[in-house]
Amino acid sequence: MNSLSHYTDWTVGHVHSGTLGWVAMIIFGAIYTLVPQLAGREAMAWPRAIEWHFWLAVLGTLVYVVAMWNAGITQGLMWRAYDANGALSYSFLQSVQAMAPYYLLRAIGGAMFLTGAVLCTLNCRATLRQTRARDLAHDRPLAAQPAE
Amino acid sequence: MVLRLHYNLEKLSMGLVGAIIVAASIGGLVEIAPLFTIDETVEIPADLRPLTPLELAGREIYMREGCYACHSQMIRSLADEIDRYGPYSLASESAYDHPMLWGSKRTGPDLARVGGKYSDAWQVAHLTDPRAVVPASIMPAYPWLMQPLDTSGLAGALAVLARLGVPYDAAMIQGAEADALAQSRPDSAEAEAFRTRHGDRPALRAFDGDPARLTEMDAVVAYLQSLGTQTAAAHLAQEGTAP
Repeated sequence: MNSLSHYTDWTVGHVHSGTLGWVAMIIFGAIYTLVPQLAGREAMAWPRAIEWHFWLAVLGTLVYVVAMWNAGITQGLMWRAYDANGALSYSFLQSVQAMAPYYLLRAIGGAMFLTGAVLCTLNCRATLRQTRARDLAHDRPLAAQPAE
Repeated sequence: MVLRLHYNLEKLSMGLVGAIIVAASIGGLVEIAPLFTIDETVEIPADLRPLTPLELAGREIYMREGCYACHSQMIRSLADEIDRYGPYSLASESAYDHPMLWGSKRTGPDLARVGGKYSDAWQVAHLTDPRAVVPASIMPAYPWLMQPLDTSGLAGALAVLARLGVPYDAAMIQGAEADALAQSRPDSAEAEAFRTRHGDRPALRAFDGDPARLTEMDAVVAYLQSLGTQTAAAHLAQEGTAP
């Protein structure tokens, strides 16, 4: 597996499946839990935008990762292909040219993911701007403190 | 019974800390212990020469521009890699590299043995505008490499590498700046002093095509032309491959 995938875009796809699909998703979840609490509200200002963000992130990650997986396996196979005469079938440059559709898909997937993140930022801004002025009840500890 | 044991085990937080330290230490030992015997396991070839000051300056620019992000310098022992790039890389070939630049991604081809593969003029044209010589290339252009080379840090860089075990002597360190200039001026008076300090093997020519100026292009091309030529060890170890 490593002899085929090393040095290729397969690794890039693999890493992004973890970064975008796991780490970033956990962070987004934390943001949507914590930001309303910081703002002293029940929920985010635009609940529908959260749905959009979720699906943009999922589809963006999938498009990106599947493109990179295919790119990597294509590179790995092209680099090691021999023709009937025992010569290498492809120049390195041909493997670069074969990447064009995958890099386009990668850009589209990345753009979808980024659009979701921008939506999240705007949603946070809208939520925090609706913070009620000095809502003291939320600043207090849940349990009574000895000093009080 | 088993659940009860687990329940009690989970309360031993200091035990968990201890177990994590033991587990991590095993991983650390496996990676670190072999380094204590590296002098015996990796034999430095007798003909391995360190980079000249100009080549070292080129290596610094190679790192500054992030070339290693798209180009590897490590040929694996696979038939197709040997056919495409040359004899597979030996650990000893990187003995003087601090840090090593093996890379982990080939958006462009491997460069471990690119030295001598193309002419200086091709390298200059390619770095200035890759599309001028390789129409389908997706490599960025680096036209700003034609700016003058700053050699002021070279003596210090050689001194640091000497402390790390690279065989630069006091004369090489002291003459670093002069040698960087001399290596690109074959007809100058300093060229002789360069040969005295660095021997006959490093290339001595106007890498960017103009001996009157010392540019970053001189340094990068000198470095690229040195790749794979610092020792013949890999060619000798893998017979049937001409250096």
